[in-house]
Amino acid sequence: MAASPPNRKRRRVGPAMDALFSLPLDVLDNILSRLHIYEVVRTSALSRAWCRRWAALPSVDLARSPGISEPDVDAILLRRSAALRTFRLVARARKGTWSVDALHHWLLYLSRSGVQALDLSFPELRFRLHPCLFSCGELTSLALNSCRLPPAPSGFAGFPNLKTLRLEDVDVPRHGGKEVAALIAASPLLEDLGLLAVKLIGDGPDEEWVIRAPNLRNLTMVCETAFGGRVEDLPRLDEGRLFGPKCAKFLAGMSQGCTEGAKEFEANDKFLNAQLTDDMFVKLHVVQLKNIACVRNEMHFMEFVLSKARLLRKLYVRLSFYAICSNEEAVIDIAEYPRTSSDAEIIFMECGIDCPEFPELTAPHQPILNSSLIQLLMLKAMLRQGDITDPVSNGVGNAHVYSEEGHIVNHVANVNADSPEGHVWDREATDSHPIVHGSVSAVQIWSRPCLLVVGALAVFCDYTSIF
Amino acid sequence: MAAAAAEATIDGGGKMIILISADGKRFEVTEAVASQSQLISNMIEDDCTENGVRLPNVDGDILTMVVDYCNMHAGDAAADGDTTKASSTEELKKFDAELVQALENPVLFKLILAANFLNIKSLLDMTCQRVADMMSGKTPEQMRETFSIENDFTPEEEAAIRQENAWAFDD
Repeated sequence: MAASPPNRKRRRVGPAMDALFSLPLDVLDNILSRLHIYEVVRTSALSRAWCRRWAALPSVDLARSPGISEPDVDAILLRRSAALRTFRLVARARKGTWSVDALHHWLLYLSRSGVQALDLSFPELRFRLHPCLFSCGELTSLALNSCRLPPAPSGFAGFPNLKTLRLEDVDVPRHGGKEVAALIAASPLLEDLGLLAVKLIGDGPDEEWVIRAPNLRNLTMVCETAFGGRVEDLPRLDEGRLFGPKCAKFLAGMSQGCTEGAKEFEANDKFLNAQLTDDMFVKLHVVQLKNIACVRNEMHFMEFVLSKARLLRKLYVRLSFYAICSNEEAVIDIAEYPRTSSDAEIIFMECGIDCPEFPELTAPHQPILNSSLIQLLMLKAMLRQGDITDPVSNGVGNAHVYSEEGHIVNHVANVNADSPEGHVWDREATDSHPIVHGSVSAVQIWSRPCLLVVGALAVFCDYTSIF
Repeated sequence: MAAAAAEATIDGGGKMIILISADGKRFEVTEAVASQSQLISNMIEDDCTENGVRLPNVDGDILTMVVDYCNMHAGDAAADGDTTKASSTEELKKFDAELVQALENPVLFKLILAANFLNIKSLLDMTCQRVADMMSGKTPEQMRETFSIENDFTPEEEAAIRQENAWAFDD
């Protein structure tokens, strides 16, 4: 069989003979791109018309081929006959079975092929990518997982079309923060940015770098350690998700609708500092705080949000196992905070387990989250499984205490049977501590199954501006 | 007609427009319903739907299915605000599944071509997924049978092709 290039126009088989092959090119591409790569290649044995068709498919998805070997990837790329626009690879290979040279060759091929969407994941290998990554100038979407980024070459022309950038468990070398900031600055169309457990090598509190992204709509950051930089100038941000103990300053940068230079603040008494302007959090509607230990900085933060967010509708709070006070005490404290939004509703969610005493954790800024991979994975799982959705709508409807016109009313409904310890709330205690506050419209307590996520301060903010 | 058009505000769809199939069948739908077709949406924008929209390569029976699909999904898009996102409600899923499940291959391909021509992305994706599902997990022999593909290889040629990509054939 002569190795002629695939003939994408002339067909040997008439439409009546092969209706599938006769579909328009982009429609057949659409169909084939939904198949496993092995099935795509198997179409080569259908008929003469089909024998090179697979090699012209604009996408190669190796994300569902866990056992794929290096020669197989070589074979797929070597036989290509058309530009490759989308390439996804999730390697499950172990160290030693794949060589970094092969990866360099693939990346070089992809950069020359004008790849637009690139998704690479190397959990066991942690390859350092070849700098030719930076010559993939047509990229619109880049997702990297478990690898090391090379430093950008000096002539880096940027990613003028990049809209989505997701770095997960990626090491960024040398002045990592500055590298990331430069990468973002070189991607002016960026709309969606995820930095998840990114390790910024050489970054520290003294490193100065700023994330500015004029078109950014979604920002997700999981910060395991304190980053040196900050964010500002995010005028189009719709949604920000921050996970980890060191997020406060990023929150500050995201808090202004149209910022003229965000002011940095720490999660302590200075939250209420007079120099913070009143237009902070003007568009904020929903705030979720998870795994709160009720240490001073966290209480101040809640006080701060309530005092600034004029349009706030819901503040969700879930105490951590290590919280230094009970829900009752927290409710009483929070109810006394002045709030600028008359619609603000504070909703407590229960962990379901009584909090052991950990006096050593009461100091503000004490990170409960350490860098153990398991905990990190849990944070990622939270992100992926949509655990940050509105708890009202995800079936947890077990409100058993709520207030009406400032008074707590006992209304014990289905205590969640899944909750390991049953319900924690003490009815008697509630009665003896009525929450009386003019602007409280509702305080609700939820009981829900315990989530084994240990984080010091996880913040979720929804900057929805459509309401 | 003008008065009727002004009155018609089903699902906030506003004006009614007429779609005419290849065999002359006429379908009256709201603009909101028809706008799920990017092709027709563009025509509405360009103000050229006055005398009905002729669709010379879509048969009446196929257009019936397309209109049913669009009617079903338009209400959802309207209720959802102005988003054109496909709904995920159980009812719609069931409707979609039933729509493609029972189709004979020739009808399914015609529906794909109509969705492609009218540029209705959700319908195109759904029908393409159906074909992909029919190919998935099959050997080349089974695929040939499913789609009536004639094997015009000589035995030697076929063996050579399989040899060339052997890694994809052994499992």
